[in-house]
Amino acid sequence: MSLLPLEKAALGAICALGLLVLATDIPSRRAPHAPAAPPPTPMALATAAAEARAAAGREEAARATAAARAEEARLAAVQNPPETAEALPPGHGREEVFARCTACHSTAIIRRSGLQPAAWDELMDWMTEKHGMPPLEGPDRALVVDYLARSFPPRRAPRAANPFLN
Amino acid sequence: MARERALHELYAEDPERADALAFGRRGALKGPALAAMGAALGATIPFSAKMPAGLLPAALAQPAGAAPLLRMDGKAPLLLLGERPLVAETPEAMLDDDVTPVDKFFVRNNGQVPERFAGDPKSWRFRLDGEVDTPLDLTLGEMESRFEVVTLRLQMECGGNGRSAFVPETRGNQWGNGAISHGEWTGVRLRDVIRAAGPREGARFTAHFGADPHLSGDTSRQAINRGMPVAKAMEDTTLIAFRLNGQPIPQLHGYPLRMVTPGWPGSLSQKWLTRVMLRATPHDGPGMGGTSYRLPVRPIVPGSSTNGADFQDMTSMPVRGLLTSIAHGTRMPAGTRQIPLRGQAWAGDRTVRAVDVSTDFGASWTAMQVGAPPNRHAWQRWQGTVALPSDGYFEIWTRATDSEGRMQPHAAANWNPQGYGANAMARTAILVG
Repeated sequence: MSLLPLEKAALGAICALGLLVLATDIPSRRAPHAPAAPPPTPMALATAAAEARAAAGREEAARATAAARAEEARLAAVQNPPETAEALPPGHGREEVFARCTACHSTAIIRRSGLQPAAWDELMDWMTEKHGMPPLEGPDRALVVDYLARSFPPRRAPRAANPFLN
Repeated sequence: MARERALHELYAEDPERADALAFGRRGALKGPALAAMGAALGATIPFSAKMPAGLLPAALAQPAGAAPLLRMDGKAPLLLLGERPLVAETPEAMLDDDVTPVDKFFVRNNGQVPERFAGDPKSWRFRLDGEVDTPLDLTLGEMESRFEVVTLRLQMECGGNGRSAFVPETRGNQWGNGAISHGEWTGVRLRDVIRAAGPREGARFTAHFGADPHLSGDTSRQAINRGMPVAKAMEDTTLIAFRLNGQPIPQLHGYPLRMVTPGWPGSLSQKWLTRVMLRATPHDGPGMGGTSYRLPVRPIVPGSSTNGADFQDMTSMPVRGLLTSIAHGTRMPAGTRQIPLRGQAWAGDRTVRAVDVSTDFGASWTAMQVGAPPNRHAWQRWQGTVALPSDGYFEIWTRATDSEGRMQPHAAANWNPQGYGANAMARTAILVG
């Protein structure tokens, strides 16, 4: 398709005019001439406020989630100390004691205890009855109890040997 | 340090001989022995003549295995008694606030700390069932809007607080005197919820359940759950709480909902509370029966074996007072002769009538002023001044007396295998000069 010279000239003029408009009608100049935006309706205001609230709520929720995650990480870290059997004093039965006892609890409660052999022995039954430990009997029990009694004897001596105890 | 260890060993091996060496016939610390003990303490002991026989100075009487400190954002450096279960004690001098700040709350868990409830806390569900006409299934939000919300200052104390004073030592966490807190709790009265459910004639006991998993993580095993007589549940200070010191309860302390059963063993203040059941018979969950949270009715030989069959469940905690304004091991300038003192005292279901302080191993006592509790089951502030005769090593002994006239004893009484109910008077060692 071909255009007549007049049509070409008209098209060129329109394009030039367009370019002129684009070049001169920059936003800073346009702004003062732009018609004032109509005042927001009450509904629009309410919507904007609700959106702001929702955004603030989302931010708050995100902060709370982050805080909760951080708290959980702290709790997980403190509850799971990187312990090995070396946390307990050397001795025959240490590895077995470490494996069995730390299935549930860290070594702190063992290391801070000091009991007579009979009391350590009773503790095995108590752990089973009250804390759901698998029953410990026979040579395994002897190994565990002997290690505990040897490694963690009473540290607070009675003022005098009790005359009613052997 | 060699001397200190020698003294420790002497007492640990043979206290009678240690006494014979260290104390003369009239109970006075003499000659080289007095010098040895003084050297171990780094001070003279002005009231050595009044030290009871067999008593190791408090400054030397370290609890079994000094505890490391809890290092965790959001918590003060408490004494870390165990990581799993997480157990931490508040040093006495950190209990000086009238309302215990959250970071200074002692920590006691039997199971694992559960994962934090991710939903809207108001959607947390709580169930009240058992011996009631209408079992209730409520959200936290419904509870808050349906029942009166109250805010009270309430003591919460571990049943084993003071355990490390038992001789011979018992099993369990070796608490000093710091397994106590005094928070400002906001919640609804358990009583109001029970009444709304219509308790039946046979509703005599409670059972409390929380969301914490067993320590092993095994879902077929239960973490601790305990119960109590309904009469305690109907007290107007027994709460189902959702705020502590004006804020949501921290995860570690039972977010978003827990019981607060003040004045009775803390294990009755179930954390992460999901359910209370009313029963016709005492609850039989872990933590009930045998020697658990139970005391001998007829005193038993310390260190002896028992299955606890004739023991009775603990109810009210015993009277106890603490010096909170001066830390154990404080050094004071030479010439200090007057010391202002301040502390807290409480007595379970009862109140504290008197607090007396001694600086001469109990030979003489000075009465302190004791304030009134702001509400029932709150602790009471005490204060006063003591005079010292000289520089040297002193122990400040604090002895509270409850409203029925019962005083704290010198030694932990009524020995039991799990070490409950010890309330020997507190001893704070100071060094002047």
